[in-house]
Amino acid sequence: MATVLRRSPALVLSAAATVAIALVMPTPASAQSEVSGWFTGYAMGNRYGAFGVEVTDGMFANHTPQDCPGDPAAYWAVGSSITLVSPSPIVEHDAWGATTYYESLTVEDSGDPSCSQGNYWADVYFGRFKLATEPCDCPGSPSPGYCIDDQAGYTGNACNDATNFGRAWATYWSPP
Amino acid sequence: MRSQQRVRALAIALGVLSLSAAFVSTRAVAHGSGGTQRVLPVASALEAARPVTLNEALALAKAAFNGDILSAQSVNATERDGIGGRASAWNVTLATAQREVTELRIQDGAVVRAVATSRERGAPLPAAADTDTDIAYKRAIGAGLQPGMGKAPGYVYEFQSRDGAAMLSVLGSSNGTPARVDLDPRSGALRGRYRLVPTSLGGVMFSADGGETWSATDLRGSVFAITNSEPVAALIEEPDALRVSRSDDGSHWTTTAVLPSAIGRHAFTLRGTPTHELLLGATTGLWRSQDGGLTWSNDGLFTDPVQYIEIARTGASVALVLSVAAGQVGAYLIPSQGPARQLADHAVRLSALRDGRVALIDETSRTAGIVDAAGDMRPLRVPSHTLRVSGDDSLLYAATPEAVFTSKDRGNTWTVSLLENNASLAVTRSGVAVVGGFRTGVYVSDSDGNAWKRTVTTASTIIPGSNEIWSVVSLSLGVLAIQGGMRAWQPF
Repeated sequence: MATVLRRSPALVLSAAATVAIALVMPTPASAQSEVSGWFTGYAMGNRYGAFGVEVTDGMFANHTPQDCPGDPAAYWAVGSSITLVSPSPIVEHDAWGATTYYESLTVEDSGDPSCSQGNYWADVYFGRFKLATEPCDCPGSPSPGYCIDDQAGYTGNACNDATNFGRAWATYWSPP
Repeated sequence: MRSQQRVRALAIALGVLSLSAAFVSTRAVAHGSGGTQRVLPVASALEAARPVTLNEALALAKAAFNGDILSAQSVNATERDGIGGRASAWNVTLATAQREVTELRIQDGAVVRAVATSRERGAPLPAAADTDTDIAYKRAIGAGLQPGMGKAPGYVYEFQSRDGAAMLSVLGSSNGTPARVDLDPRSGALRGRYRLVPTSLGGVMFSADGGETWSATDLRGSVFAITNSEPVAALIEEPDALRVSRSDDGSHWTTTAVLPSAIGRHAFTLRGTPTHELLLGATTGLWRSQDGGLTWSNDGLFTDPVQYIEIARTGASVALVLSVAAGQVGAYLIPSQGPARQLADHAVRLSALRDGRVALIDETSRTAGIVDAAGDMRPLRVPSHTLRVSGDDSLLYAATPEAVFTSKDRGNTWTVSLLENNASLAVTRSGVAVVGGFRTGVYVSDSDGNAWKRTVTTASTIIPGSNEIWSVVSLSLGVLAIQGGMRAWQPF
């Protein structure tokens, strides 16, 4: 007899890598849930993101309920933070070449309106620094964007950081 | 949805796939000597929990940590947040040391979390706004701002340095579009009103040779959907309306109609039927046009967000398959004659196959199936994280966002064919596979996926846009691909 397709319990992914972290980890509140989705990276682009905030390191974009009503993460409010499980931390730089290791990220932008990247997708922002001679241009971002020239002899490029990050299947704690 | 009782259930359970996550990439990152986010202890013994204004949030932050205010933002959880200028949660950022900022979360009148990050600091702001958010709220209401900015309920408040000057912004909506009102935090004077609207970037690319060479068409802007069969039509999101354009040759497009406001401001998909009917999936449900897009109607059967629509064709039988993403969530099959049938009790992604059947993919349970126009469905094993399927039983293609796989045994086994970020997939009538990249151009294979050729490296060299190929469709007149558009804040 034919039946309506009903969901089986969600699979639990095992973390493929663990990292020894010498700091106090944020403790997810009980209302948080561990979820998984694809992470990609972007850089440069508009100074102010889809929700009016100046986009900086430590922020990310995800879907909106209008574009992707089937993605539970699309309903997380702007300003909400997620806590990374794997990969964690995510390494980012600034225009001086200083390195920051992010174990939590805040949603302040939106993207992928065609929902092509699946539920719980997050686009991690890698900054807007570059050499003065390089274009302020990065795939996925409006071009030319708003950029900051490298300082103090640093020769990094935020778009290269985003490209090198590439893509990762990520596990993380949702906002409370 | 009102018609729930009218939809009869008849479906076959889909098989659970269990392929290994061979291409799941995780990366371990070693710690160096640079800055790390540090969680700081907070003393949160404060008054009775209640929503607070911006200035109250700033005072709480300054009481907890010494430092210059860099930014503040309300984080809304309910529709009550922001009403009257108060919100239950705020993010406040302070400059607490040289090249260090501390990000505070204030929840219900207490500092509940503090994270110090070593990074570049922005310009400091006043420790308080002369115009607090209770006044800003009234100003925003007076400026016509409505609640709900698309990514949070209620009214969101942001206090930051904007282009070198302190600015207090109230975010909500205007005519169904995210909008914001900028105020001078000292005088409360209106500094501007902005809406987040689609730009002129993006558009449709055309290939007459199976994806080998591409050219720009004259259809530009945020094209959200395109039909994958005749009649050839496209859906464009404009600042104040949705528009349908038609084409006879794929290269030249003419506007058919601006869609009625009853359809709403957001639509997901557009499909053509063998009887040349146009079907539109929108936040307001399933809409039909029998005159090429000039007029539209919704028969009331589906009034919740219809995110995916495909047409199943088996011999002379035709059925509509659709997926509803909210409200009466589920997948449904509507035959040309007879009652609708429920195929799944949850939202699925739909892909049209070359043989006229439709693939259903549930990315949460990682199950999939293929249904024909009669409603007969068989399970389909697909690689983990599959979101798109194309081809037919002789050669199936499945795509995760990271890779394209092929199967020559009806999905029993899969082989990695292309390891590249992708956003869309189609197989032409001559068997050429065309993959639209996610910021990676376009790839084509005329060898059953054995070899791929990158025919477009940067889609913006053809049409300026996001370089995300939102959709690829194969038609008798050629292959069409949507170069993604973008949204930006514009005054209104």
